[in-house]
Amino acid sequence: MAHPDSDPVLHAAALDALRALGDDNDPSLLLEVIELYLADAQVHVRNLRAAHAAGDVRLLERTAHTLKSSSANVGALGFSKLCLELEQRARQEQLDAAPSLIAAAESQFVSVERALRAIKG
Amino acid sequence: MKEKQLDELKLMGALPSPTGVGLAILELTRGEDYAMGDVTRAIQSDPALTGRIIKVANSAGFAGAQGVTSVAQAALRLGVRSVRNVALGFTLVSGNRGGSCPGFDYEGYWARSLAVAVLSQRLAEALRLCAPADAFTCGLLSGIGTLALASIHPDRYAQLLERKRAVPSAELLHLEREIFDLDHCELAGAMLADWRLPVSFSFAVTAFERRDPYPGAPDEAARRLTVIVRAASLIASWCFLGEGDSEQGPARLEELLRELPLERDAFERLRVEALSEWREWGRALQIPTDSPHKPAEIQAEAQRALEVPSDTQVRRGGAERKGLRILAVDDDPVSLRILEHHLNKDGHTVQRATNGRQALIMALASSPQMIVTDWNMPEMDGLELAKSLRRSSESRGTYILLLTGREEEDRVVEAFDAGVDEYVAKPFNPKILLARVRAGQRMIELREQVERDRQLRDRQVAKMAVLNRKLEAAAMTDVLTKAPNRRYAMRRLEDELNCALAAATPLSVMMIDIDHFKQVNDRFGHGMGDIVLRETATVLRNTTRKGDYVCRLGGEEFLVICTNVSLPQCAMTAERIRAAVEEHVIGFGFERAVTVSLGAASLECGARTVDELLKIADRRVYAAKAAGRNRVCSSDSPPSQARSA
Repeated sequence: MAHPDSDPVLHAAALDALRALGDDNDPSLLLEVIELYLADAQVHVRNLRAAHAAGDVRLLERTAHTLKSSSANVGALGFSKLCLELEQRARQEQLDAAPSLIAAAESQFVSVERALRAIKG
Repeated sequence: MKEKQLDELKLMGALPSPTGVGLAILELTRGEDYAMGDVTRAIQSDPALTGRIIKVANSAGFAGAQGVTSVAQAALRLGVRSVRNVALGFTLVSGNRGGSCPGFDYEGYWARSLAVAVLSQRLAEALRLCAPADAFTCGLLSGIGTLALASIHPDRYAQLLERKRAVPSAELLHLEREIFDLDHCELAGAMLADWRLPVSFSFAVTAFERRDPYPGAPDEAARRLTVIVRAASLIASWCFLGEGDSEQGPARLEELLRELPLERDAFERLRVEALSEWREWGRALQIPTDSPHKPAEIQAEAQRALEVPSDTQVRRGGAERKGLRILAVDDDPVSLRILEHHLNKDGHTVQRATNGRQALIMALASSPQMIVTDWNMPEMDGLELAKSLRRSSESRGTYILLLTGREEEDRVVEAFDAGVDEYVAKPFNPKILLARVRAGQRMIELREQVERDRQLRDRQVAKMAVLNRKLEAAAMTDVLTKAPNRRYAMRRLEDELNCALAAATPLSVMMIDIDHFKQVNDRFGHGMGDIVLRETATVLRNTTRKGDYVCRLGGEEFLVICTNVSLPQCAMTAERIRAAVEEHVIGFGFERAVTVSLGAASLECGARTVDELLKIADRRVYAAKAAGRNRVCSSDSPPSQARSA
């Protein structure tokens, strides 16, 4: 289930689908969604580490779950995948790999953020 | 005004009364402990009424609070009792828009009622004297007595209005009493009591037009409500309707403001707001709110008021909308935004919530037709939301569509058990989601049809109940004399006797028998006998106090129940009756006046039951007859007040 390392930060197909959603009535839907996502995800990414530090497994699981779906919505599939893995481990309370997964998610999110800001222009 | 007079008027069937939903509400709230859900449901069955209730809730002194968008919210904000009362008031407006009294300005009447209602509400809010919604209802119904008189006696009331127009200084209340023996204020008070509106309402509508309105107020609430309605009525006349003396108006207005007390600035604000609100109401109810005499200043304000966009709340519940009202719930703002976008695009109206708890509050407040919710959410997840909604009768019928993640798919059975109607797996294909929403819509529309049918049935049941009450009233009335009959008399006497014994207050009765009635029948026929009975009943009614009950027991026998009256007083009344009958019930062709013999008895005579009391009265009628008729006997010694016949 591992993806090649060359996986793009943002999947063009998912972004195009989102762009296609916008119509004459709602031309800025893509930009609005990106804005919503960034504002929300920044908080959640910070919460990943905080939840782990506090030993709050449920919060960690839920935060990872939320990030997983919202990231998939904006085409950040690689980041979403990391979050899914984190969510599953938190649910099974297997936290050995959590610190490295959180670190990977944080660094991946930096790339996602940069890519999304580039779209916004 | 006494209950029996109102009963008589009701029997004539011409009183304004609530219709449709109003009747249903009246029936649903007969007892003290009625359910909020029943009342809100009854109101919601009428979209126009729903809009009006919401409008009242939004205008009643809650500036800055979140807008009310449903009847249930209005009930939470105003209290279910106030909502019931406002609803009743409005069903009276919409049910009685025209009538058969030629001189009566029906539209002007409603324009005035609305003005007094809006001003009462604003004044209650500004002076903090009582609940604004109560003031609104009381103001709305403040003039109902004129409508009632015009409905019961269309021609005579038209003549009265003609006289009033010819002599403007004549007092309406005075003219009414002269012609009908009761005025519109008394009648309004009795009607409000009959509709089981609070005692303070009845008092206020009875008192507010009197010169000295406050003595006799049952409590402080009644006094305060009277202050409000009185002031509102005067302001409506001077400032909205262009009535009254334009020279003295300003001075009297100043005086009123000092009495209230209300600062001039505050009053100006209140007046402008109320005027604009009044015109809005006028438009909503298609009642003209233009006065032919209004000053230019008010005209300018009217112009401004007309530019206020009309109330959008009234649209709610309209039949023309094809989409559903959907509450979308997701903790992820991105998913929520996309979900909303798809639903909007398909013609639905969407509200958003970001967790189950928020969704629950919104769902209970605004009763969406469908809820599309995510499963996994903080605070309260989709399943708990479904369970909570299913526990409340308000939201039991809401259609719930659950969005399930891949990891939750094997738990969907659990979701159905929690009360979910349908699910769609995430990430969803928009086409499939919208198809499922449309399938749900068919289900919702069927359910709503069933609900409407049920409400129709409830209304029919309510109508039956009213019909039954009318039949019951008819069964209590003597057809010939229109006086209450023996059944009513016995029941009433039983009640009064128990009350009097419990409260240790006096109670008297008089038994009345028409002298030589058999001879009248035999010599002049039954037609003449009927006339004598009717005439006698009329004299009895006119000669007794308003609180006395004049009943026909049968044949030529009448009973008068005198509450709170001791034997000597009763004997005096009896003598007055005797003299009045002798004087008024003139013989048509027979040589003597009709006379009656009376026996008076009271609890003071030692009676403890209805039977004992009536036995004493009976014995005394017999003694009066034996002593030569046309006389009163009020003791067991031979009657001494005998008069010659």
